[in-house]
Amino acid sequence: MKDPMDALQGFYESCNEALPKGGLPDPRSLLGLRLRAVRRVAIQGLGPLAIGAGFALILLTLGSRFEPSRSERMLEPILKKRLKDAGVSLQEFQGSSPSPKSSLEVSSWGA
Amino acid sequence: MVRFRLLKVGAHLGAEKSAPERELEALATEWRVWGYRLALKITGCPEAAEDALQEALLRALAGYGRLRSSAASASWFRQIVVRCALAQVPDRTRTALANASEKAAGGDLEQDLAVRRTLAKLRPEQRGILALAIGEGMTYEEIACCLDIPEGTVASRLHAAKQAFRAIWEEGAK
Repeated sequence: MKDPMDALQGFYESCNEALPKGGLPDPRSLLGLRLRAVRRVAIQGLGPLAIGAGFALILLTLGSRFEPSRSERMLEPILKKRLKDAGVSLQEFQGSSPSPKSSLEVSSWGA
Repeated sequence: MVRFRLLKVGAHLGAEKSAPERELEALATEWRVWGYRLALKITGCPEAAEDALQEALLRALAGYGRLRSSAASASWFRQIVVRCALAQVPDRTRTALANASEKAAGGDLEQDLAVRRTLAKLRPEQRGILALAIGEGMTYEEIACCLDIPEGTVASRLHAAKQAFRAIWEEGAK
């Protein structure tokens, strides 16, 4: 390994040959320079924006799964009324093994 | 409103440029090359150097009218470039320096990478003073003028920056 200061000098010499990949900005146009700055900011901001939009889309999709559909919302008050008339609580109705009585009553609703 | 702005832009593009504007354009065409290289020496990151140059040119275009002597314009622009390069987001520069691989320009690649990694661990003002003193070969007086600090401070800061560079370099070599 070289002396660190020699290595640093070598690095600076290599910088003396470097040119920007995207070309040098044109100082003849102030508008061009500003547009270049805007483009750079837009490119830098686009990535996080796309990630944010994707994340929001996922959240919306997941959220809509847990939300009752329109037809479910419309049926809810009717169902509650029928259950009340039949003397069955909502918890009982939602339970895994409904009682034979309530099942019979529920099955007769459609008639 | 948009129409008004478009008209304004059109007027700007079509307007006859004044003598100072033309003078500045000619100077800036010359400055942009060394301005980019100076910014690269300070930031060590091509993207950050491009941004610094961009910002420096905009500031120069905006402030050229206030410059009294065109003879001092190069050192004035250099000062702007240095400030813009030092103001670049340190984390971004640091990451770019630390991840530099294929970007190393020619020569001894391994050594170039070692230099970049060492520079990444320095503070921006230390990188700046090393770039001006070693990279640009500027005198203490010129650096003091450029960074707006006393000459004695330049000497002590440069010494500290060199020591820090050596220490980090040796640590990396172990």
